[in-house]
Amino acid sequence: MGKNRIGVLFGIFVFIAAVSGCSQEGTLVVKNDGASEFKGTVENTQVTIDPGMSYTTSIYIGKSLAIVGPTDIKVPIEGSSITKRLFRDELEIKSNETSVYPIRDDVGACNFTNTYSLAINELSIKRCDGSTFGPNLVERNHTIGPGTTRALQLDPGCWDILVNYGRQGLLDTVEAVPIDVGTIIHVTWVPGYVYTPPTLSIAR
Amino acid sequence: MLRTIKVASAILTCCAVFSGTAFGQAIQKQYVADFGVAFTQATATKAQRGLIGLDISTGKMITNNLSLGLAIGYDVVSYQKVQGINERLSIIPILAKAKYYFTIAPLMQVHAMVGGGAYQMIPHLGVDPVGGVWKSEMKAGGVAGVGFDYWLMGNQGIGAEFEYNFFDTGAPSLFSYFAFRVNYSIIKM
Repeated sequence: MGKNRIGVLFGIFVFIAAVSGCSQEGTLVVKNDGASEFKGTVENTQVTIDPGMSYTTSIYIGKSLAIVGPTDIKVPIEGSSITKRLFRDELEIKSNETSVYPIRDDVGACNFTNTYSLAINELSIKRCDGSTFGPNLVERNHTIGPGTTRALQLDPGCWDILVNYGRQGLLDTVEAVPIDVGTIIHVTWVPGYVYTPPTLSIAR
Repeated sequence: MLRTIKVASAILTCCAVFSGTAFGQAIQKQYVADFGVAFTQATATKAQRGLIGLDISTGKMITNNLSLGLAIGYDVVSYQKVQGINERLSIIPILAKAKYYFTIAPLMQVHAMVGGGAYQMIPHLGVDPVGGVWKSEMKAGGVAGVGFDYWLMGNQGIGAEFEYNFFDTGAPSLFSYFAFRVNYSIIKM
C-alpha cells in the first residue's frame, strides 16, 4: 500500500494548503452627486471629491478558505460639503463586486463675501417670517475681513441675514435670500446690499 | 458552526464503522504525544497572511480507536510587516480534544478530531482589528479537524492534520482560523 496512499493523502493536504487563505476584495466608488466639493474620510483615508467626480478604491475584506471566511465588510464613510451636512455612514462592500455610494446634497448654502472696507464682526440669520435673529455665526476673534468670504450652510427656505460690522458695531440686513437644496447663493455684501436673483439670459 | 459540527459528527460516525487496530499503532490505555508545527491562517475580516503555529498535545487511548487529551499551542494567525513594525495576531489555544482513529493500513491511520476550550488572543495590530479582535482577552471556542498518521518505528510516527478553530469575538461573524500541521508523534506505554 504504502507509498501510493501516502502520496494521495499528502497531495490532499498540499492542495488544502495551496488554496488556503484566499484574499477577498471589493471595490468602492464614492460619487459626489452634489453641487460642492466634498471633504471627508473613506475607510480612514482623507479624500476630496469635486462635484460630479468619483473616488474609487479597492477595499480589502480579509482572508477566506473555500466557504469559510468573510465575503463582505462594512466601510465607514464620513464628511461634509457646503451643501451636505456632516454625516457618518457605512456601506457594505462585497467580495468581487463594485459598490457605489452617492453623496447627495441635503442643504443649500450662501457664500457671503465682504466687499466693504470694514470687517464684519457678526452674522446672524432668521427665517424671513421669523421675528428674532439667531446666535452669531462668526467665531470669536475670527471677523470676516474685507475681500474674504464665509460659507453659510442653510436649510431650504427664505432667510434674512443680519450683519454687524465696523468698530462701532453698525448693523445692516440682507433680506429674502432664497435657499434651495443643492444651490449656492452668492452674496457680495456692502452696506445697503439688496439680494436680487440672477437673471437668465438666452444667448443668440 | 452548525455545519462544522455536522461534518465532524459524520466523520466520527464513519470512523466508528471502520474501526480497528494494527501493528505500530496506539492501543487502549496507552498515551500518545504530538509535537506539531503548523501554518496557521485566520479567516476573518482584515486578516493578513498567516504565519506559524507551534503546538503540543497529549492524549490517552480510551479504546483502541478513541483518545481523549489536552492540547496547547501558540498560533500566529495574521501577520504583516508595516514600516518595520511586525503587526500580528497571536492566539494561544488551550483545548480538550477527542480523536477517533481509523486504520486504513498496517502502519497508517486517519483520524477525526473535535474539541473545545479557551482561546487567549494576543493582538499587536495597527489601525484595523482582525475579525473584530483589538484587545487581549480570552474566549471559549471549539475545534474540528482531520488528519493522518504514519507510524514509522513501532512507537513513533509522523502525520499531518488540518484543523479548523472557531470562537465568538463579539463581531458580527464568528472568528475562525485554520491550521495545516505536520506532527511528530510518540506512543508511550
